[in-house]
Amino acid sequence: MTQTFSPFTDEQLALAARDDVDAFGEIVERYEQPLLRYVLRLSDITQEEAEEVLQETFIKAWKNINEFDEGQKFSSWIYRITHNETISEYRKRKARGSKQRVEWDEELFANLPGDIAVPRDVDRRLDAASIRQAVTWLPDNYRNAIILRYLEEKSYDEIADILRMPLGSVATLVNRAKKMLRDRLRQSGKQAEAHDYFFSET
Amino acid sequence: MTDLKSKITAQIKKQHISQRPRLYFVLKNCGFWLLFSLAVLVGAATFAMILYIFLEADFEVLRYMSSSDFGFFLVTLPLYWLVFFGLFFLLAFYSVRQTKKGYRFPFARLVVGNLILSILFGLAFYQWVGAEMIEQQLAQAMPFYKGIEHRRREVWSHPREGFLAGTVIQSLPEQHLLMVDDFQGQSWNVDIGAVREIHPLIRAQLEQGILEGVRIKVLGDPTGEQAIVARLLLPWERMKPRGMQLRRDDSVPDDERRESALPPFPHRNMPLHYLDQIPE
Repeated sequence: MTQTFSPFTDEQLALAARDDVDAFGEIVERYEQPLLRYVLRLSDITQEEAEEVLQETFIKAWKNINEFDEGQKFSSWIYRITHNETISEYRKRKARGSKQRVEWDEELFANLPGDIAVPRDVDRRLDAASIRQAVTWLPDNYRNAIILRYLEEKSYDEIADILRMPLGSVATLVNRAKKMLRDRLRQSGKQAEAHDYFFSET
Repeated sequence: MTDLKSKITAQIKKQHISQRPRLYFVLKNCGFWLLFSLAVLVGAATFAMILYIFLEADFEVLRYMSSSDFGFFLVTLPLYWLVFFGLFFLLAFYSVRQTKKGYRFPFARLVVGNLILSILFGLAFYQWVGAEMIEQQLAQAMPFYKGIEHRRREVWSHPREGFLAGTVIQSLPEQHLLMVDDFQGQSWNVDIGAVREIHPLIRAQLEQGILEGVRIKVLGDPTGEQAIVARLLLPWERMKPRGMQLRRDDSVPDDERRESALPPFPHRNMPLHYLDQIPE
């Protein structure tokens, strides 16, 4: 008889997966899409490569499922494994000289807090492009924090568990990243305004 | 069922991929805590050694040294203990960060906590175990390790650089002269006529004519083949506060004691109760 795992929480599923491969299958089903998106956002790899990374991630999660501590959020635990696997793959590619590319969607622009937003008189499409460029320009650890906070919508507590760092450091990373983004966008906003001004005159 | 789900469950079943047992993670976590504890304890022992060496170092001679002497003195300090302390500090830091929730500790708190633990245990080591004992054990276990006594001998076995230690063979206070045999058995004439400071204990022994056979240290300026003009005279043995068993002469009233403090050298009838003023 096939057991239905639908009413199970992720944490209950993780406990069940300690001796039930089908329970683990349910975990794969629940996390496949969010983690695939996360891998693509975090690195410069193709969809096929991301699926391979994800497969490796799930196999690793299966092997180490006994490491999962019930006091923790399961999503943080599996995101941490995914993060490590992706970074490891990303570094291999970086060593080979591949160029950085970040998977973008409008979600980032929508989720960014108001305090980063550029002046309203600047074209919104230009904002989105500037934000893309600015986030790509951020150093790795700042970019990771911004992606987790505003794309994956994780709390500071969860980010601390995923990136394995103190809570205070997460807050510092996010705030500095926001400041860097704000400065960067302010610059490009001014440039855009200047561009508009000069070209509308001619 | 998604592709990935069926692919992964099939792979697990087909390849019989097993899960790491829970005990593995429990032991791994305990292992890092154990490593942290060991690193703190070894760091503490290292701190006790640093404390011991610095308390045993002849810092009182620094103010009598010229800049070239100071450089010479500095290189004889066992700075590698500081490096060891740093390494074990880093190991403790690393291992606690690897424990289950270790990464949650804020950096500054971890550094300060680690330092406080090392210093507290180090002081306990120094007080109750004794850094001297640690050093003796080290010297026995590692033949290449030079104990502090050995290093002090090295420092004070450079009479041509002004660092002389040895045994007083003959004492001629009227001529302001001491005959000293260094640790290599060479005889030296030590002119104490222009000496700037004599340790009170040495001065007392000189006054009483019982300096012969006593081991001393001389910081001075070499003037000839086997001659040195002393700037500072000290006993060879370090004067530890605990070891200073010089008794106070209670028969002497305090007023008289103040008046008789440290008469100029040479002073033939110097009362012995000024020994109370040996700095601790």
